[in-house]
Amino acid sequence: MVILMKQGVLAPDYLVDIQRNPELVNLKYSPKGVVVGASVTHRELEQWSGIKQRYVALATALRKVGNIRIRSVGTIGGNLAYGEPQCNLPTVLAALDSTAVISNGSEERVVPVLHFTKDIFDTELKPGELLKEIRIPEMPPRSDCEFIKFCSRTAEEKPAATVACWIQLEEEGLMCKAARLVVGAVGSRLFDCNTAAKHLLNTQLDDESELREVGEKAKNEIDPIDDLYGTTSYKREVCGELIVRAIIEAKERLIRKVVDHD
Amino acid sequence: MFTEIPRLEGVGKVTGSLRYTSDLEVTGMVHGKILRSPHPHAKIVSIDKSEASSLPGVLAVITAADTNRNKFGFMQEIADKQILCENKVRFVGDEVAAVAATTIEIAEEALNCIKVDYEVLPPVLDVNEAQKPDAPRMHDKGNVALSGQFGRGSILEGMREADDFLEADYETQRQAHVCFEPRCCIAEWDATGNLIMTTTTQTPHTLRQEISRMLDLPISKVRVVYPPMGGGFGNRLVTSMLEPIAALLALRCGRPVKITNTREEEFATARTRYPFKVHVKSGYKSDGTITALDITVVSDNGAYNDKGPAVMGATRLILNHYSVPCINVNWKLVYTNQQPCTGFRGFGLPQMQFALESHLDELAEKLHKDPIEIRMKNSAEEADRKCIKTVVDASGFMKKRGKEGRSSDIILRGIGIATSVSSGSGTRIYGHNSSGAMVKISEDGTVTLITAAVDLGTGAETVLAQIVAETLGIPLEFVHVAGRDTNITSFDLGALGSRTTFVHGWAAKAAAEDAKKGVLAAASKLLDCDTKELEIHRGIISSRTNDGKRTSFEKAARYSTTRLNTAILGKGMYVDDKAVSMSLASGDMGETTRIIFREGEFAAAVGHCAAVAEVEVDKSTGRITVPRYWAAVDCGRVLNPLGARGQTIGSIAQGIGYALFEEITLRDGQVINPTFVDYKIASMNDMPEINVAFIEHDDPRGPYGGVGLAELSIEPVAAAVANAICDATGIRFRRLPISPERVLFALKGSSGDQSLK
Amino acid sequence: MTEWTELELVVNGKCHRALVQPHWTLVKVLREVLGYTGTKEVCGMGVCGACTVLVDGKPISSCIELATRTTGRTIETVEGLASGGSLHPLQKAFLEKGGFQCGFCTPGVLMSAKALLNENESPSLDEIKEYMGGSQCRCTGYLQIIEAIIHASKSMGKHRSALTADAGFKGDSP
Repeated sequence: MVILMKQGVLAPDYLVDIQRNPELVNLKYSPKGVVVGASVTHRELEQWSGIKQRYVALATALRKVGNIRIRSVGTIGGNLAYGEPQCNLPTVLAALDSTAVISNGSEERVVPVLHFTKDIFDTELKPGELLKEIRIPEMPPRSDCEFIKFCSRTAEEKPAATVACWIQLEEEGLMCKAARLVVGAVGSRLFDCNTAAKHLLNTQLDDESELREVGEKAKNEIDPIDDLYGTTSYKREVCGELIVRAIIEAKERLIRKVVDHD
Repeated sequence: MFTEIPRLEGVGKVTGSLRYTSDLEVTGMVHGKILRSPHPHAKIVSIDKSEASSLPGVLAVITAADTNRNKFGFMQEIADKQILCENKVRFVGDEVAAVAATTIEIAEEALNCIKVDYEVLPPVLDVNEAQKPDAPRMHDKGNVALSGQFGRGSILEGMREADDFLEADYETQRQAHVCFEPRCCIAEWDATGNLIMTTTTQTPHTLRQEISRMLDLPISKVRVVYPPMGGGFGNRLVTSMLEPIAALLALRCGRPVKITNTREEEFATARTRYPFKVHVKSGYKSDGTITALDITVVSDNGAYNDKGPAVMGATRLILNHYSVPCINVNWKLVYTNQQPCTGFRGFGLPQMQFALESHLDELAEKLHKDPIEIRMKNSAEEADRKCIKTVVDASGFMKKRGKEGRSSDIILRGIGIATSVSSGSGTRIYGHNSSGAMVKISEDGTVTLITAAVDLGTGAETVLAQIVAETLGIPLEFVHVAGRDTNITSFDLGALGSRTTFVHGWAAKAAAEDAKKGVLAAASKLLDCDTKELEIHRGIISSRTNDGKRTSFEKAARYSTTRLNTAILGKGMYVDDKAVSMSLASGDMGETTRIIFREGEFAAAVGHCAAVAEVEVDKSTGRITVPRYWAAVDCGRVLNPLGARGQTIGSIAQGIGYALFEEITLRDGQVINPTFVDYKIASMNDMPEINVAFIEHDDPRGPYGGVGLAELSIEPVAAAVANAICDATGIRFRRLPISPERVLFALKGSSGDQSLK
Repeated sequence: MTEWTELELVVNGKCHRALVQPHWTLVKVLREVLGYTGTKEVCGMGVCGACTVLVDGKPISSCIELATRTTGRTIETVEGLASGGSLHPLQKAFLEKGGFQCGFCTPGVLMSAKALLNENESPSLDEIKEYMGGSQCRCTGYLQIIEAIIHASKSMGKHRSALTADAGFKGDSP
């Protein structure tokens, strides 16, 4: 936000520092999953034991946000509320089916992270509202999530695309029982690749040609923007490929997990 | 002495206490800001500065009417730029007016109050468009700003000797220097009308000449002071108008004026590397010997002339590099309504070597030969072949080449080689290349080297101090370096062309030798013996014949000053007596100015290098990484291994950016990526594992056997990477930067980059 | 009319009073009001890391941090790295290994490296790259920076083990 102020895009009359509000630095387990207060920093969350083992993809995404300075002091709430289209974190949070809790001081409402950012730098937050916390559901059995940040030029820049997939296996074997495929950073908001995810259901996850089909379907479910990070057609192509790679990675980890478990 | 010596100025840098120009404030100082053109091409109908002038805190507002309207060029023969635009603006960012105010904020507000009425003209944004007969003219003359030719032998004969030909087009982009310290200067006039210009410059003495020409001042009235600088890389060879504008504002308001470029101004107006379009036609024999190279270079000059002639001049070094008997290079620089370009590390060689070293691989491929054989056959010097052999052996090139790529794996692997040559001594293009130094010995035995060398951050001062310490036989701690002021230092061309270690090294050595005579004269009196029997080692002066006769450097210095009444001051010169044989002359040919390089050896000494890059290409995204890189560098004797390795690795980092992602992108004449977010330089995580080998030997041309190396290693990077990508994918990329997008679509067979297979 | 406010800032252990405008960034206040010009502003967007200082021990981009937000917290800049006339091991290592050239990014790189070593006494190469990846440099090509950090970490480790050994001998807890 200070950048926007320096560029003269924003000129607020008042700025309120909410970082030290104790209610917002919450970080706890609940029966339904994890609750992350809006003022928790990326680094705190990344290094929290509750994240490291159970939400590997989220930990990956947290390590890939901006740079160490942003991760050290930047907060999860700030990340989402900024509405940055070239995002990392919202992509994986959405794949995990997380929700954002918005408060206006007296009432709270809950919005899926998937729909939190409406457009470039434009979120669900209305004047007088505050992002209070993010709720990440418990990881269901036989399921896992994978996240990929793709930078098209250097290793340290805003992503040209981020993809996250969450998949759940049937009781036995490699048949996909449930899936969520989310693409971020390519356009003005997150894209839920529903059709592609549906195609994945009742598919054997080691069937490469079916996975290719999922990738093809995902390509057509996103609406990328032409920019310095890539053209529309390039971003489509890459996302199709990365979705497949993410599914394979998630599957591999699930197999390891199941084997460990057995 | 010639070991890994840490930087002399290093403590200042790691403690944050070293003051750069951007850190300086002068009592009474106010701030200048420049109003720049928002249009690529427009007539200035009128400028109304009244509102800006009356703003509280505004001390001066100037336009072309307040200047002497002199046209400027680094060579006066090619002058085409006024300090502030008078009738026309020619690129987005062109200087239109300027303001001095008590704060930067007020100066910015004042800029918004200046009303300029423009009549927008159709812009010329492409070199091909610009050369069409009906293209809008940007200056009084035609749009081909400068042109020239050089080479050797007869191309016709060379082509006649050939069994076959290969033709290809290569293209490079605008690369930004991205100096971390922005351009900035403080202009101050003293009571007697002398101008003191404290500034970020690589070329203080030629800047002094430029300012004197622009402001109609005698050279003696201009004093350029140059504090430590946060990078240069060729960006600060010529004034970008900051200095004359600051001087005029300071004169107007009677206060020192500081102007600092914003980062956006830095990216969008402070000049870039010249982008080249290179057409290469080679004639060759079936054994791989090239008989003729016919090369045409067309470059976007941008809106005004800058270092173009010198950039093209540097490409003459291909004559040293290849043994090809017939070479012809025709070049032209074409005006467009875009940001002007300037010199950048390697001058024109990174561009030219991308084309030629890619071409060599294409030739090898066509002849079913390996790229090493082709290079060995056409290399002119044993030093090049030694470098090639070193990197080939170290990298296991022959084992890896053509083996790892083209697999069904998601990652394709390839390896590629390229070579280059660069001046290690500065060039003779200007017709003179000399400089001088002084070595002062204080009464306590400490030594001050007064040098005209400019240390942009390269470590030049440290190497020069090492040379002085070695020559005098004293520990390095005795030596200080001073200068940084054109009123003190000898005339010099500046820090460019990897000339500092060479030119200033020789001058410093000569000055130290001269001073040493004074010390020995004092010691001989003190010890009552002949100077001829004395030697200095680690600060101790002793007699070679009489063991008992010894004293210290310090005592001798004190004795000379206080007893003999003789202050010790040595002076030394480097004189390149062949430099006059090589210079550029311009001839007005009506529509275009032709630049003629006179005959002669281009540089007093050259360095050589060969590089091998390994790449990994991600088949599903086209993303390229360079995991490993080998460089073999011949710069004679390495005088400071720490600095030499740092220069080499730093060059490679800039070369990787050049090859893969760095590009100033213009749309409708406007730079659309003028920030660190949108213009990317290599980060730590883009760097390969790098193995640098120095082929050390005493080069008799250089001081203590060493020659300059700062530019060498950037030159072959892009071609080595492109050749490796071709090895991995079978696709030849002839345009930089090689973006993942182009790679992916080429892999899928749907782009302009065509497979050779 | 411009609003001014007086801040108390603790920089390198010294308390300062600074008259600032509320929207001023920390780097502006450090450089222009308090005279800590060691910290440089390069990209102005929190990207390059040249302006890195530590606030309560954490690395931040002072070019996008408001000075008003840092009152009552401890601010460390490059000027505070050396203590008692002797250089910090990181400073020594950067000198010995050639971890800088023009030196303009160096204050930020050093502060970031300090934060890294505070968090992790002996970081692996990958950990260094992950932590330091967002600190950019145009001159060095980074490899000598990495070497310097590893060198500093080792020399601090030796120092620590010497301290521990020393303490053990005396029977005191450190």
